[in-house]
Amino acid sequence: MQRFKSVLSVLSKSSPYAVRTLNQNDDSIEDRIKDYLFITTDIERAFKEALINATEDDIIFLCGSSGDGKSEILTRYCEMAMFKDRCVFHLDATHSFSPTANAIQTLDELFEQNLSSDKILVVGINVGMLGNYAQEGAEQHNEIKSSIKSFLDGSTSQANHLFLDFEQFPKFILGQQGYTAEFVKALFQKLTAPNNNIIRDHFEHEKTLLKAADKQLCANYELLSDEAVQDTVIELLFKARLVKDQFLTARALLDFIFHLLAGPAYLFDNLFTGSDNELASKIVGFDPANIRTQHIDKFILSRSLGLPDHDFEVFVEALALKGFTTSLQPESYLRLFYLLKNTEFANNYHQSFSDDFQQQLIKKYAEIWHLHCHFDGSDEHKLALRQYYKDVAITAIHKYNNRNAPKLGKGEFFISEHNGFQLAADLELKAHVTQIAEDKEAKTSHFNTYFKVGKRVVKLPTNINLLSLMLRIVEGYRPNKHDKNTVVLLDELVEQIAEVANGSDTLHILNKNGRYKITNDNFDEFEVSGL
Amino acid sequence: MLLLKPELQVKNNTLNSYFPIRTKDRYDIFVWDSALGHVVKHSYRKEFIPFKDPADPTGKKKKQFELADFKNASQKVFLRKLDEADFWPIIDKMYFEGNELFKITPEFLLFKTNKSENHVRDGRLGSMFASLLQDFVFTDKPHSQLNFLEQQLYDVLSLHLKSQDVATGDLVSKEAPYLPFMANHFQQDLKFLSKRPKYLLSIFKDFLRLYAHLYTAQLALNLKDWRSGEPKPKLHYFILDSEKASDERTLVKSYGHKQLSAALWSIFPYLAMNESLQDNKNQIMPIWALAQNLAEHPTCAEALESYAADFKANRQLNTSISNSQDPLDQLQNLLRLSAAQFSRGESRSDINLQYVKSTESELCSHFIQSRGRAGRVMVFNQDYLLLLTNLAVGEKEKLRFHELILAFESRGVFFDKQSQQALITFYERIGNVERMSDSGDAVYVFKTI
Repeated sequence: MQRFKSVLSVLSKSSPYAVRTLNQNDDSIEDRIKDYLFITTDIERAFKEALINATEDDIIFLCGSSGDGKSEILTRYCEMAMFKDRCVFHLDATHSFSPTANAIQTLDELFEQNLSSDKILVVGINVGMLGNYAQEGAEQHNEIKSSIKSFLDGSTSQANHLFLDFEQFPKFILGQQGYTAEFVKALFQKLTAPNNNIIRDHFEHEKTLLKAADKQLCANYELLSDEAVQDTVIELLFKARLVKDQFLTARALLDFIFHLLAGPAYLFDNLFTGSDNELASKIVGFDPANIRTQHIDKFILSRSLGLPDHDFEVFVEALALKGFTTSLQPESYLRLFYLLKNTEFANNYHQSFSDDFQQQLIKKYAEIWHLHCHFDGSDEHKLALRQYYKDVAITAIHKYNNRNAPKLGKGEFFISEHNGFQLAADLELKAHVTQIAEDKEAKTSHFNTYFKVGKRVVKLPTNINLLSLMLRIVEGYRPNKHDKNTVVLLDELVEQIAEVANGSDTLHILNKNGRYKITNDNFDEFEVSGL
Repeated sequence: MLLLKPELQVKNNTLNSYFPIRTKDRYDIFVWDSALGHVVKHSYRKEFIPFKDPADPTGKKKKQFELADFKNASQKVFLRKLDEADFWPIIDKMYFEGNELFKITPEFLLFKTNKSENHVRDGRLGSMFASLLQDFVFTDKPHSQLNFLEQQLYDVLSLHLKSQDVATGDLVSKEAPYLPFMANHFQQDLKFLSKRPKYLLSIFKDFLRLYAHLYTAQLALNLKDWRSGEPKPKLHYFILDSEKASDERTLVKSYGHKQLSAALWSIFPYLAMNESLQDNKNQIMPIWALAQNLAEHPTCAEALESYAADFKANRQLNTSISNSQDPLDQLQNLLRLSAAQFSRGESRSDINLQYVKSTESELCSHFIQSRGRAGRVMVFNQDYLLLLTNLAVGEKEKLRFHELILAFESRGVFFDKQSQQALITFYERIGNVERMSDSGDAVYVFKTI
């Protein structure tokens, strides 16, 4: 029996098993683990179906980024007897087979051979490479190039060129009740399944080594076996996807799990202290030890000073039974509390912090996303939408627009400032429900909000960062123009509003000493009041 | 027809084409605002109608329409329309103090082209842009949403504007574009901006500075390569201002500030020689076009040869020159002689050194930073970067990152792999990217306007 850690290292991205190549099956323990962990995904089912129905002129492109699992799928199928002789598999389109040819030339050659062959061609390729080929591929493959271009533009391509894209099978799906992440969940479940689990067998064996056992690793594995802990980790991954635009590929996820279990410290520290893993490095930003509330600060202080706290000591004793050391840094405890926030443990000391960790953002985002992307026209939907626009979007826009003109009231929008005089106009800003109903786009990363500004319709794509910014503006935060990030999107909208407002026939002019109103009546006269 | 001047005589070095700087210039030569005015004048084809001088009782004398005249005219109109005359001072304060007037529409910038003491120099800068603009004219006038007060001011202004006659002298460019690729981009980008007048007014100066620099750099880098025909963008590497410059970045090092500095040195000698060969009654041609023309008339080699001999004698140079019968070799001789008269130890060397210094400070200083051991490097700051990004994306909704880099390169802006990473990070911070996958390749970049 091998040691637990060396068995787990299959998951690491630096393991030779992290990259799938042909003829690699040697039935070693590592291979058995890989096979055990393999999860059949929707894209694989779609791919299989496409393969069965394909005819000899067809070209199937399996598109995904590196680490998505293209080769993993392709190698499985190219060894199957039923496809072996019918298809030609080109596993990785970014490679060439000779030092003198680059990837583009290799593809040219491949398509060339395919013209005269009677086999189905299957190509594993990433989207970037597709784009490059569409630009630089040889003239005679213009058909293929135009297919690729239309695929990249999102229109339909020729019938015998089939594109299967990992992008179309997202790993996180937003629904009415929040989000689901089947693939990630299934992977955690398999990894920690109680029975018939080759990984758990090794874990049990490790524990029998007594003194020599890797206690930290075992404690981590047990912690991760708790479903509530898994859910918290998945929530963090989803947050990284929304907030930091961090994609989740299979390889990165496996490496991330390896880093959680076998990293330098306990799981909760590995989770928030980053590493060379791209997912972990993004999750660092969500470290609960950086949340500042009175309760948390008090905890850190009293731990640093070693003040007595009976409930806490009971909690730590219970932890020790699970194999954790009794002297952690206060920050580490906070991370542990965060990880356990949805589960019971010992005397539930950690739950007193659940209010401090309360981060409703994702829930709120999911709700509003759902309202926009799956708007059903029912009264309650309309009501909920109106409420969001009234309380959040429009309030935030109004506040942001008039950030330098505090004297302006409701419904008045600041336009511009000239030598200390501020111009403003009355404007109606409302949600445009019909447009929202018509918009059929449903991407997890954002939803499209629509406003009626006077007579104009204005669209504002909102991602989670913009939503969070608007919520903060409503609470009184004042963004400044110099931290150029999400504000740019708001600026664009504000500019449009100013433009519409500028066209109105009544202007308010404000300065230090007063407020004037000037109206352009139809007889080409300017009526002034307030002098 | 042969473009060569019939009588080639050795004269002093003069330069009146392709470049706005003269040998007497030092620092702070240009008022950029008036360059804006010139570009507006050129692309709108508008100018002021000569104005009756109110000081003249006979009413026959004309003078140029000044800002003060405009203010008087506006005041009259407003006093007629306002029901409270006391409101005029407020409008006066709002729009006639500071630069507020010039933010209304680009046409107001025409006041900046009025004759003043700096007029001649700024006109030169204007004609550099005119050379890029060629016969470009806005087909659809950019119009922004004005409020009724601004509209009123604009109406008054329009009364005093007339469309220019295309035939008048200062409109037809006196020179064919030296860098056709740059001219095309400049026109295309200006057209794109003209549809977004508010944005145009906010970045107009940056836009011109950016192009002034790119034009200068690409002109300098292309000068010696006149035998290759029409110029193409030459490697010219920048880094972002947020990056570290290190000696290991070979591209940044070899095709950066050092290369540019060396190339700037040739501007004056080459262009002055080019000008001395051509008849200024015709449109001046760039060196590469002149070479093509000379190659078609092999007989002109003789004239060139004797001119080279005269020139060498007049400047007392001991540069060795070839006596080939190929006109292009003779042109090469002349250009070498022209450069040699400024070489170190010659009496003229200081003139060109000063010329390079002025060029660098006036047209390149925004893009040069000193970075410790790495010395001086070409740098793009965030504002210019955003502007360039918006121009590169142009009328399209978004561009693949790879295509964006190509669009940069076609305007003569190059970034190495490391800078490209920093670029993506920068765009992510702004939030104008969409990733399709993390292979790093399929990143789409949006405009921010």
